Amino acid sequence: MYEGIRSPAVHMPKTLNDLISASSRFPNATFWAGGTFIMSRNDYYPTRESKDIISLSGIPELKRINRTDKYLEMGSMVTFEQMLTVGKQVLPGLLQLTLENTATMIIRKQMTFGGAICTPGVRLALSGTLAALQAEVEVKTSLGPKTETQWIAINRLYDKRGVLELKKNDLVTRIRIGFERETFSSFILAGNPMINPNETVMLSFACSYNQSVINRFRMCLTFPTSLFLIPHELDLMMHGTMLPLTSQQIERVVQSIMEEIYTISPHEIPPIQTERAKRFVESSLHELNAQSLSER
Amino acid sequence: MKIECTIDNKHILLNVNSNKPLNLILLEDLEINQIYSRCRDGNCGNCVVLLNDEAVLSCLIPAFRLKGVRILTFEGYQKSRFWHDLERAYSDTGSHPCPHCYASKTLIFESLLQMIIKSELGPSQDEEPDEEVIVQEIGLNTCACLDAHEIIAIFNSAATYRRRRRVRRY
Amino acid sequence: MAEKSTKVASESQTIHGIIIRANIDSGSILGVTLPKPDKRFVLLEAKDVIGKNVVSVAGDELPLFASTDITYKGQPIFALFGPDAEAVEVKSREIEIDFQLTPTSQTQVQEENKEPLICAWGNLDEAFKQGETVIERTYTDRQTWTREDTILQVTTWVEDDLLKIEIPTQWPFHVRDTVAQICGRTQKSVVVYPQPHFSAKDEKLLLPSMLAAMAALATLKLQARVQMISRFPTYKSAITITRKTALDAKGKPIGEKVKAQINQGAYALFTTEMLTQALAGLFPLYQLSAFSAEVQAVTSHAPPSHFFGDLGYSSTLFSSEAHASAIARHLQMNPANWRIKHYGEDTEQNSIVETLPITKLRDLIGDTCKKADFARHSAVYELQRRAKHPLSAFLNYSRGIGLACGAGISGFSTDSALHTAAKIEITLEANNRVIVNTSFYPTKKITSLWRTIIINELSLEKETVTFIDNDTMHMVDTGPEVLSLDVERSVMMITRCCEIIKRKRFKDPLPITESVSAKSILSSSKIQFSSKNWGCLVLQLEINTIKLEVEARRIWGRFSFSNTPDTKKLQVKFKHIINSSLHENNIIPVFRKGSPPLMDIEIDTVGEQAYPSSATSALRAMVMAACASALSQALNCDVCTMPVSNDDIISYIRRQNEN
Repeated sequence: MYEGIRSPAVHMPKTLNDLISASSRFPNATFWAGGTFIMSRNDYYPTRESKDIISLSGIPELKRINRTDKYLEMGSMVTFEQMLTVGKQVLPGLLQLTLENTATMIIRKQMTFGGAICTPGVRLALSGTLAALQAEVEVKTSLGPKTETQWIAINRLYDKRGVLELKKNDLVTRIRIGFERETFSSFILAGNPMINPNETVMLSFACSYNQSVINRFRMCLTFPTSLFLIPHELDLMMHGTMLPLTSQQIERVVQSIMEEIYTISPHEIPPIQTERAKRFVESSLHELNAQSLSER
Repeated sequence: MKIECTIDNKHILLNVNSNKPLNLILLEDLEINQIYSRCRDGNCGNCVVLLNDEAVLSCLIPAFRLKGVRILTFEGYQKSRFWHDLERAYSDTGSHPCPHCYASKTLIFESLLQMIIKSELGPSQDEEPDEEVIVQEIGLNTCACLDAHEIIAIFNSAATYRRRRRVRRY
Repeated sequence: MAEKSTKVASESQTIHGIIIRANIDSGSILGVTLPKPDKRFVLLEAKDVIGKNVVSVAGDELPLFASTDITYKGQPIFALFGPDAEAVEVKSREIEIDFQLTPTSQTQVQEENKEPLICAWGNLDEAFKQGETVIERTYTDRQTWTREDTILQVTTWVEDDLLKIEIPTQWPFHVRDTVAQICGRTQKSVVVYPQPHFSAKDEKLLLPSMLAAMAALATLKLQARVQMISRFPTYKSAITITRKTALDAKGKPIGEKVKAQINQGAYALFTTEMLTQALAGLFPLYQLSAFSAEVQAVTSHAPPSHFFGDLGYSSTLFSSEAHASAIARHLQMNPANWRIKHYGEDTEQNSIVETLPITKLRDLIGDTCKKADFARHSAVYELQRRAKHPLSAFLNYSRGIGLACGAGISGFSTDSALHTAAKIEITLEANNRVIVNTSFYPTKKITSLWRTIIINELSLEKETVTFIDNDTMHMVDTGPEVLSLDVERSVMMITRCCEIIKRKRFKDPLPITESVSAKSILSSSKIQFSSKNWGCLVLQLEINTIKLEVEARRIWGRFSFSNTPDTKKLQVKFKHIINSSLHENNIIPVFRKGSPPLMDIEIDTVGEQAYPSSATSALRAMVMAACASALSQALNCDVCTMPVSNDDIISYIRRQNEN
């Protein structure tokens, strides 16, 4: 304990109700999930103004993995490593790949789903993958004595630049993914969003086709500090398209995405990011073609 | 905040700020100088310690998480018998980490070796790490002195000694 | 919260300090706004220096604290001290400094520092007149720096009227002298206890002296034990080399003009030696009838840079080898065959660097290329390059293979003034006990080498040799621990000591103490460097055209030493250096299950000389040159700048698409 440096009070609620009550009583407190993001900030420690901490690690409801008829549900405090171990049989391949590529096992044992989705200022790979899988999140909002709960699509948590749009008293408690599995998926990552966010690009792509006809086409392109793009028109554009895609069709998709990037981020985007984004999209479509041809 | 924990097999009562990172506690409060770097962003991987026998980055562990835990720094680990498995593996393979990352990489190896013990105790062999996992885990430490084949050779050699140690116990 | 104390220091309390640095490249301090006065904190600045506000380094100087002018980003302005590390760090953020920035046009200006170093022979104008073709390339080894991670910690206190310092350092006597000068004390009243360190990039050469001086000032002012931590990178000088070569009708080089410029940052330190070391790397191994090399040092508004594992040799050797490959590529020849054809003994070059016979190098090139199947790989990648396949996302890779070779040098040049202080002392006592006294920190690796030499020379048992591990009152000054001097020069000095002791043993009474200076073992010839090894490296890499990352696939290396090194240890060291060099150049060794080992390194001996030699700086140069050549092939353009960045790769790709 140090002169002039306040030691933050740490609150450890044991149930969801305790948590909601604590968040109302201490509205300026920091929610502490795994702590990997908070503690990796440059100005984390020491600071004069240390906010109180509400640790989420003691709430069993947030650590459950549950399987219903329609969904695979996980609490926001489920760690990446837990999900890879316990959920191995049921995880979509795209999600498994994303979790494995995000960090080493040592870090994955600390990183939580909720924490990774709610990082302020930097978008990690998990958000894009969950968006490509059309996942939903349960958000609880404390409104005085009442608590409002709703399930929302994960892409609605962010704007097009990837900025988190949750309000101060919102809490992500669960995440759910449908059981409908994609026929083809691709996850490509270059760079590290924590070390060099201005060079990092992440692409999550999930596609379903039946007898070489695309019926679902979902892509999410992420630049950690400037872009979170889910081109919805592409799903409509590609729906009903025959595989393999022609080079013109690939070119059209790439052009459409690049135009959207430049519309969302009119300020200068580092050329490495735009070039990588273009190549990631192209490459994943070539892979889709290759898979569809190999199945004939 | 007052926190009781065990560090290098010594029972310690810490009186530190609740959000102080473990690496600073070790460096400033306990003057354990094995940690040579502090990168401020959790990305150098040079502050590894064993927390309840699992490798963690000490810069990502806040003081309030230390209640009742068992921490082993490299200094403490060197006094344990398990250290000899890795020492011999380094000698047998002729490869070893450089002085800058020696402590950290050794503790990551130890953490991976512990997985072997757990997989042999558990019902499935699935937990035993495969080569890509081993290389990825050691890559948490960004010092680039060892290449993938050296890492795998060291791990396999140390694993052989570790398995023999377990057999001898029974 | 802890109880507040009103005083800064009490007798038993340790005071903690932090350096407050400039965050602009160049300008002047207009004003400083300090936080509310607080007796618990003390601020030291230039006017608090008791002696001179100057750190002297081998005849050059730089200020300890900036007074009003800022010359580089990160320059120390103040040192703040307080009751604990956290409080000091938080308090330091409350200090506001107003700067007036120097106009951008002025910050770009580079000032030439000293007279350039020139070496020339033959008639260059004549050679260029006779030449059929002229090839000109500009090679750049960019400024790089170590990560801002490594903690440097100093503790200072006063005991029995002696100012005592505990710090990891490559140069304990420089710490002592700097502290004495800045604190206005005699050298005898300052005692340094060197701590363990690992400084692959010479991170602990001068920074410890500056940190210790600040902590010592605080100790004297506050009469308390002081601890300071600093994390500041070490910088490598940016070196630009322009090479212009005239080739005759058959493609043989006949004349070459080389100009190198070294940017030493805000303060030029060790310049004379740096120019000599850089010059040594500029000499190509092909014979030339005319040659001119000019090396110039300049200063600019960048942090001071000098030693970074070596002193410029690896950067200039990189340019020499990359240029040889560029000439071969221009002539559409296999770079290995071109080298075997044109590399020869050159008496002019040998006046600066004396090497082993060139025939050995040719053998090494042949062996390495055979092992790497260089000819076939190079031909295939050349075909790919000429077929002008764009780096498309469909093909998803582009490969190249590069070759480089060179001679390893270590230590200072023969004429260097830096040899002056260096001394090693050995004492033979009763019962065959030997004590070795040197200020080089005794690490397990180097002491085992010294121990072996001493045991062999004096026919002793292993356990009887010990090394001084004390302080500057008991040590002799062996100078700065850089450039593998602990491996090469120290061994020669220890061997000389043992020879003298052997002569006196059984004649003179014990204990017998002998000391040898560096000057006494220097060669009397005019040759500046003596290289006792050759190396050849082949590197195969691939550009991942999806992620636009450069990946190393395989590396083959063959090395010959004139002494008998511990091959296993040396292989480990070489692998460390190659791995580190690849990462420094943004090239990632990628692991694929089932793939063969990344590196195939072999070391052999050509002689039985006892003195070991070092090839580390040459190895770095070979990695850079081989990477540059391989990238040129993979990208189908001339890659002359290392490390290669993502922006470079984009611009190469876009240039290719335009063509």
